[in-house]
Formats: sequence, C-alpha cells, structure tokens
Amino acid sequence: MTNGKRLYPGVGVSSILMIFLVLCLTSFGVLSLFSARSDWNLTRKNRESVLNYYAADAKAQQVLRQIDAKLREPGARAHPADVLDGLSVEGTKLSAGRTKEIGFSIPVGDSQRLEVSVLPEASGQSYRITRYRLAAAGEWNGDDRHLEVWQG
Amino acid sequence: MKRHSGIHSFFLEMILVLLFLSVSCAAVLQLFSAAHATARRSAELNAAMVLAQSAAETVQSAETPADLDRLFQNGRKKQEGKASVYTADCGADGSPAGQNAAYRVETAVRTSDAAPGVMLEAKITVSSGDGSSRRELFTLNTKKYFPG
Amino acid sequence: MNGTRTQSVQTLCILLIFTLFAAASLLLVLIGANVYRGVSARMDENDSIRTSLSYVANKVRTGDETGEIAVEDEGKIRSLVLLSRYGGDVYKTYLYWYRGWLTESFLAADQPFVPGDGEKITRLAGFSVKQTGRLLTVSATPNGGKPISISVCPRSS
Repeated sequence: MTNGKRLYPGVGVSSILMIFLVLCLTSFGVLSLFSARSDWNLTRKNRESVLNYYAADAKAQQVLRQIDAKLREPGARAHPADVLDGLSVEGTKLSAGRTKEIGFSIPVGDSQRLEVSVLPEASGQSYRITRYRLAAAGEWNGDDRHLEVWQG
Repeated sequence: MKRHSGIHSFFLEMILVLLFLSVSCAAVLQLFSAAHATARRSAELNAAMVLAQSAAETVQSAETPADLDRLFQNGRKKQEGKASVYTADCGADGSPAGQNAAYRVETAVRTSDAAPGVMLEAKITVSSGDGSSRRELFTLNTKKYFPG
Repeated sequence: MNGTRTQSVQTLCILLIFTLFAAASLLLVLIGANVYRGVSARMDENDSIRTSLSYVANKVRTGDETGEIAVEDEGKIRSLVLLSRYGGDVYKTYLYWYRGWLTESFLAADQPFVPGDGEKITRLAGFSVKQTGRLLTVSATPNGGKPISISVCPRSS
C-alpha cells in the first residue's frame, strides 16, 4: 500500500540545499577575506611610503642645518661652490654649480629620492629653499617586463 | 512501513544536514569576522596616516617655533619635560570631536639648539579608542630646521 | 481516519521544518552577501581616500619648487595647479573635481583649460583645495561618506 504521491521533500533535497548554502557562504567569506587582505597590503605599502618620506625629510633638515652652518663661514655666501661643492654632510654629497644653488638628494625607499636645492641669500637667512621635491630614483624602462603581444 | 522509513530518513537527513551546517557556519563565521577585522584595521590605519601627516605638515608650516601654539590652538597643550604636547581629539574625518572621539592625535614637540639655528623635532602619535582601550595606530617623526 | 490525520500532521511538520530550513538558508546567504558588501564598501572608501588624498599630496611633493604650486579658480572650478618644465617648455597640471570625479589635466601653459578634457582619477562626491598661508588643505568626500582632509606644506619658498 504505497502512495504514489509523496507530499514531503524526498531524501537528498535538504543535502543539496545545504551544499549550495555552504558553497555560497564559503565563497562570500573567502572573497571578503581576500579583498580585505589585499586592501590591508596596499595600506601597509602606503604606510611604508609615508614613513620613508618623512625619514628622508628629517635627514634633509639635518643636512640643511649643516649647510646653514657652512654658509655662515666667512666668504661662503659669496662663493658657495668653492666651499660646498663635493662636500659630504650627514652622509650626503652636496653639489654646487654655476647657478649658486646648492643641491643634494636623499633616497626615499628603493625607487624615489628627495631632491633639495637651496639658494644662498646675501642677507637675512643664509639660504632659501628653491626645490624640495620627490622624484623617481631612476628612469623607468620596461625591458624587464615583457608583454606578450600578438604578432599577427 | 515504507512511508515511515521515508519520514525517518528525512528526519535523519535533516539532523545530519543541520549538524554539518552548524559546523560549516562556525568556520565561515570565522572567515567573515577575520575579513571584518582586517577591513576595519585597514580603515583605521588609513585614517591615522592622514591625521598624522596633516599634523606633521602643520608643524612644517610654522615660520618660527613660537608659531606652534597658534597652529595647534584647537587642541590642548601640556608640558612633558622639555616637550610640549598638543593633543587633539577628532572624528574619523579629522574634524574636532569631544568625548567618544574616534581618534586622538598627540603632537609632542621639542626644540633643541642646533647651532647656528634651532631644530624642532615632533613626534606625532595617532591612537584610537578611549581610556584604557586606547590603541596606538600610527607614529610619525618629523623635523624642521629654523635657520638662525 | 486517525491514521490519515496522523499522516497529514507528520507531512505538515516535515514541510514546516523544510520551509524553516530553506528560509534560514536564504537568510544566511543574505547575511553573508551583506557582510561582503560591507567589507567591499569599506574597501572602496579606503581606496578612494587613499587614491585621492595620497595622490594629491604626492603630486604636491613631486612638484615642490619655488612658485610652481598654486590654487587657481578657472571659472567655477577651483583647482590645484602644478607647474613643470620639460625641454624648456612650461606645462601645467590641473587637479580638480568635475562631475563627480577627481580629474587631472596636463596642458601646455599657453593652452586653455577645458575641465571636460581632463583624465578621471577616482570617483568622489566632493573635492576641494584651500590654501592658508603655506599650508594647503585638500578635502575629499567619498561617495556616501564624510569629507576627509589632508594638509600638505610645500617646503620651498
């Protein structure tokens, strides 16, 4: 005496639903975690970049102090190149050219540098900062990054 | 009999399914909470870096060391030994906030004789939370040289 | 009769349990999707803030030379203008907010500024630049968020 019709879900429907549910939840969970992790990695890189910049900035200020001290020596402001060109202060080499500007650069991380230039002033403060910019440490070239391009 | 065994197998299956589901949910919940915690940590660090950089650049904008009192007038000032500490409580967007502020920015400034001028050193610490649950999020050091 | 009733009750119970299970499953999936959406939204906000504020701050730092950073009003659009020199020619980089996007426009100094010709950087609900003395304050408003500001002080004078 078996009924042809069955009014309740058969064996297996619940399992299928459960498998689907677990797959969905796991996908969402893994996607969330990976997205959050990659965002955190980016944030960490940004933090390194900021810390590197300010470390270089602090070093540049120390070099400026040394330059200030040198420029106060007799005759230094009139001929800064003679006094400062090629001089090494705080582990940084100074350069002074025909334009009277004294320049130096400090590495910022691996791929950038902080380029600073100061112009000696005849009166008042001994120098004025004319450049204090972040620049790439070298020219970018893509030789080491091959791109597979269809040649036709 | 067959019908009864059909019903029994359904219930048995439901029990097993619910058991497996609860174990899976416990595991998946860990994934979600880890993701949520990581996303929150990232957002907090981003906000802390922005606040710290703003404070550092404010220090850099001072024309003389005496300018700092004016530049940090929105915060509280106290002396800790040779350092002046300016403290500001602000929300996540950096705007000033009172109690239950999301972040606290402490700028500890020390001037030292760096002949022929003066060297100003600032340590900026951004922390979150309040009272005993305060957590340090980000610390930044900056220097500014004032020629004599 | 009793047997039929008992059978109906059992069937009803089973259906009820199954319906509850299906509803609970749906709820769980919706909760999971909601959490993922929340994490994504926070990431997007982080991203737009990081992109806009850090990008502009770094642009200022890479262009920090005497007289090469200014805040200018071109019609109704206030933009941060950075001068640069390449091969003896002078170029201007405009950073401004236009139609919901942080936009950058790189032009020769003698070319007219057309806001629509710039390159979109990131989507923002608002962006502004203000100069107080030597301090530049850049504010960015992410979509659905509050404005966040960063200050940058050019060191050159």
